[in-house]
Amino acid sequence: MIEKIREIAKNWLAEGKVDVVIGFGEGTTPFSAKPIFITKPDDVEKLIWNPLCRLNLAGYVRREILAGRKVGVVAKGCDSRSIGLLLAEKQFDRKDVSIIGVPCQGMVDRKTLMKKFGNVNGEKVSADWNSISVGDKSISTEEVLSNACRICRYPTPVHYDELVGEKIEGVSIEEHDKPAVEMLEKNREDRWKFYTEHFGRCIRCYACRQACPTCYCDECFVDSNDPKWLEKGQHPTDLMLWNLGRIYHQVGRCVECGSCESVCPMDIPFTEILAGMSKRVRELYDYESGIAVDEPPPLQTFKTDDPQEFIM
Amino acid sequence: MKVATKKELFDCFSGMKVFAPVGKNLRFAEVSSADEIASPESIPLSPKEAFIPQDETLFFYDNPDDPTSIVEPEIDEKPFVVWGMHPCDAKAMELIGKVYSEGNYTDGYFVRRYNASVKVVIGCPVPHPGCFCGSFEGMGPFSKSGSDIFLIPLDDERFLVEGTTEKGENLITSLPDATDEDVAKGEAQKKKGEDAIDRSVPTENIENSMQALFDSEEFWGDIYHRCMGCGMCTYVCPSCYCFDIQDERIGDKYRRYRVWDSCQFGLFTLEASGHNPRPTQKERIRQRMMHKLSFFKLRYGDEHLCVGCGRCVAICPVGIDIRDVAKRAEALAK
Repeated sequence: MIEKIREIAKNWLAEGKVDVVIGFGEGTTPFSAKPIFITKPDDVEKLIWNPLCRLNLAGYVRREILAGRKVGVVAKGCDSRSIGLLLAEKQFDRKDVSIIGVPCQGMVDRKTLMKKFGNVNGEKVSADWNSISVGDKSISTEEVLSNACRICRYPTPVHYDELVGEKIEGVSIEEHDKPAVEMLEKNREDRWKFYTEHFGRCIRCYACRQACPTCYCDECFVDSNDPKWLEKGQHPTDLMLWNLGRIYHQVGRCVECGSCESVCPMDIPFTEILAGMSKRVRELYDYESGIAVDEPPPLQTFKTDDPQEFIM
Repeated sequence: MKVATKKELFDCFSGMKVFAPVGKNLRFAEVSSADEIASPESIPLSPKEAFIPQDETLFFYDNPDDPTSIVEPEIDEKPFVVWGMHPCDAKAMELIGKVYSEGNYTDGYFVRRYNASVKVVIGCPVPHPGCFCGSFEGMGPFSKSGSDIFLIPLDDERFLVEGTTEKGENLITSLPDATDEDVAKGEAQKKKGEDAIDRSVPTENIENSMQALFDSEEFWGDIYHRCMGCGMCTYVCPSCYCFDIQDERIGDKYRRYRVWDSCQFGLFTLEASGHNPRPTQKERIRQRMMHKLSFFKLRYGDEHLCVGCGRCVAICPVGIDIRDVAKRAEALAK
């Protein structure tokens, strides 16, 4: 599969169809893949494809296009949906981006992996779609999948110019909604406890925001000092306001790629919260973000028959 | 040389506040029993916050127009214990001490905490994947510099305990002396760590090599394109000390406080005019790398601000690796 990805990338660069191909390359620490920017056809050999290619690359796509480059990207289902969402929000034109779509078997959560294997130093490590191993210790890849990938509805890219590999079916709506239902069935006090406990760990490094392709505001509400919407410290109220505030801004926009959760150094479980949000949006507006590129997210538009029962 | 289990050592500190890594918080926090203490490797944050809390009240005031209404918070100057630092962290606190106490201004908040602290430093028989403290002159996984009590893990249960300052020694007098066998085992552990630590990162002349590459697109292009601009590297770093000062209103009082800030944020250098001298991630990530491997040594003399703890290397979600930056700089400068 990687050979095909490299071949397409090479051709696109050689033809001048794109100026840069964004994909993943080998990282320098155990179990890491890093985003790389390929500009020379001969460098396509650096591209890799394995279950560590976790991050959503769509944010880079937007940034590179705005910098005036024609962009090629190696996209999983979620990256393609994020591109779809950015197109629906008119961030760039479809012709500015060329997509190598790769159906995804689910990405690994590196933090879980590091906990399983502990201190890895010097041993030989390997990660493929079946198993992950350190020295002679081995576990199945399935066991350490990211939470977001476990409930992925669209592992096969929705938007692409070339599709590499066989299409993969996503999970059913019922399966997707399981963690959401669990979350929504919690009573008010338990849900509050969940929020307080997890958001209470936040160190405000803003990695969740920076990793999110959908968080692209020139000035984030948390950075505004006039008006100053919230304080900068570690008071639980401010931690709550920051995290819930960011999530509110994702209503009908989040594609549930799980990047925020995967990068969070403090292990805040965003997937359950975001899955619940997507469920509500789907039920109220019959909308799944990042699928239709010509339909704006529901809260950015108005229809006379929009449901209103949740408004007093 | 003494020997103790975690519990026995903890008992030496009765009556004192103890800050240690806490698993469920994923950071250093005050603990009340030895059982709560996790391994420093199991949490992303460094012990820096025992000396520079992320959110710290500078003072309260009743009236913004009346300087006499200022009330300073009470600062506890009683000795307290910071348990579970590594040699890199102890070095980092010494380096921050240079910034916060040398020259015309002294940061009283930091200095009072630093002086009151008993630093319990654990040597590292098994360095972590990103660690490279041994690449810096005079440093290594068993360097005792900056410690008050130095521990060498003997096995899962016991430590070899050494008081490295008078303050530290006085606290551990009740512990039993180590046997020759324990001391020999400690030496073996030390050798294991010294042998394993990465010494391959060029640091001797790196300050000049980096200076020469300041404007190199080829050099910085490799990292800034993928830098997302989060502040994780600076927050997990034991030697990043920048802060932001804010005022908040609480009821009819005001609080002036400082919080960790990060050179990776756009707001960090945004001026009131709207001009930003570091407008993109290129200037921001360059600033961090230059500060760690060049500016500090050029400014303060003999040491780099990076201590090789490897936390940023291990945690960066886009694989920006300061070891790699140093190696590439040295290779390009040749």
